[in-house]
Amino acid sequence: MDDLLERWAGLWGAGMAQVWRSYTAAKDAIRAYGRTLVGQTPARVIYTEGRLRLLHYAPQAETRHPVPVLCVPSLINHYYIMDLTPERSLVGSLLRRGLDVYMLDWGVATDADRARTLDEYITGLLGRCVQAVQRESGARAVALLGYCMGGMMAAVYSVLRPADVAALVNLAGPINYHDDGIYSVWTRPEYLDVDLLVDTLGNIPAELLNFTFHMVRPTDEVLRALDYWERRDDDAFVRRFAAMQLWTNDPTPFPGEAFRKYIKDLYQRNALIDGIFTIGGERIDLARITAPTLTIAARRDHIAPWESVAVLHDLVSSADRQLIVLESGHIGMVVGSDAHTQLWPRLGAWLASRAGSSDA
Amino acid sequence: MDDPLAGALRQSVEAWEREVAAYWNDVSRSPEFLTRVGRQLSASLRSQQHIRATLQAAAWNLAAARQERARELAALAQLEARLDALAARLDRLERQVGDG
Repeated sequence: MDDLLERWAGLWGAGMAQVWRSYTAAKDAIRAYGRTLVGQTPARVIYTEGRLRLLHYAPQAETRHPVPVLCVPSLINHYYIMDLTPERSLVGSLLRRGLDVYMLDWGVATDADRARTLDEYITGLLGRCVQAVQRESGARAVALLGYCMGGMMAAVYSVLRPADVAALVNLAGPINYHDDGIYSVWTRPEYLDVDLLVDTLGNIPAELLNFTFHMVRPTDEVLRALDYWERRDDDAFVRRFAAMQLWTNDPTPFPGEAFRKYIKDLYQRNALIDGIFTIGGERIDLARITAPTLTIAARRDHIAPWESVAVLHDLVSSADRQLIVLESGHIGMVVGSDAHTQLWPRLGAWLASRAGSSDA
Repeated sequence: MDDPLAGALRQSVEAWEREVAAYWNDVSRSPEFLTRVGRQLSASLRSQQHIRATLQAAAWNLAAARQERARELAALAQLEARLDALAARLDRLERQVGDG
């Protein structure tokens, strides 16, 4: 450890001081710039409930597949990771394929959401969004595309309301929570008293979540500073960098009661894998999923280890199922430099082939 | 950007960062470290609960004291009114005695 500190002092003197100061001085401006870039794909709001918004994107292709795609992001990160910038937009890639895309924006939880349970988020809010998509599109069933925690929510919804789901995509959503991932370790009951945390804080503050995310690899920001220094005159890079800097530092509070159940039942008891997880009083048996299912995991994912995601592929009963394991990380798989060659075309092709024929 | 400063630094910084990350990964998974952090977090949360309970109790006490003061003021006002009434009655009696 002393050696590492000495070496850091050496690097600091050799130029890192200048790099770091330049980065920290620009940080606020970078994030402010990022805010002007994210979530730019044209959409209109077709449903709201509290702070939740349901967006319907304007079509970008002459033909349109009849089965709509509803994107379900994580509860605690902003939806715009799936529509980061016009150049790095998963949503945009789906639209260009002629898919009819909707986005659930959970909004930012407030004290009013403190008592809202995970059950209510899945059967209530997500359910009402599915209904709104059905009304808007005229389709009987929708394709659910869940990312991260949204993948788990979409899978659970597929068990509860199979008639609503034409196809299911779990994009890096953990299903098995007893793994080697860092969150699985940090949330063990011997270290984390979830009840005390929720009873004291109510909603889990965004700042606390942000701190936790950064603690996974705290020195990562040193490399980001160096990236910025080296390419600060490259406009395309700065746009991506600004958008990512905003997103990674822009989590939303985790509603208290939803957090309690999420951590206790899933991370601590691994109830979904053991078949004892209940939502709305109903046991969630993932084997009841029969809709076409695509599971996409990333081999370098430190947030949702790929095996924890991929297990869904083995648990569902769908005759039509596919597993894709990408050589990327949790976020890189969606917006990284090779997302447009790895994830987007394969996801888009799979959805398009299950979203019905496109009309002329 | 072709920057000789960053170019020369990158290799060293990346090597340093990898080593620190590996070190931190070991530390942040060790039961000793996590037990200590967990205890500190719980202690901090209990303190917060205690402070909140104390402040709430103080707020209740303050409210109770205010109510008590209001009751005392009302009683004083009643007493004052009765004294005024008595004084008026006394005046009337004195006048009657004087007239008689």
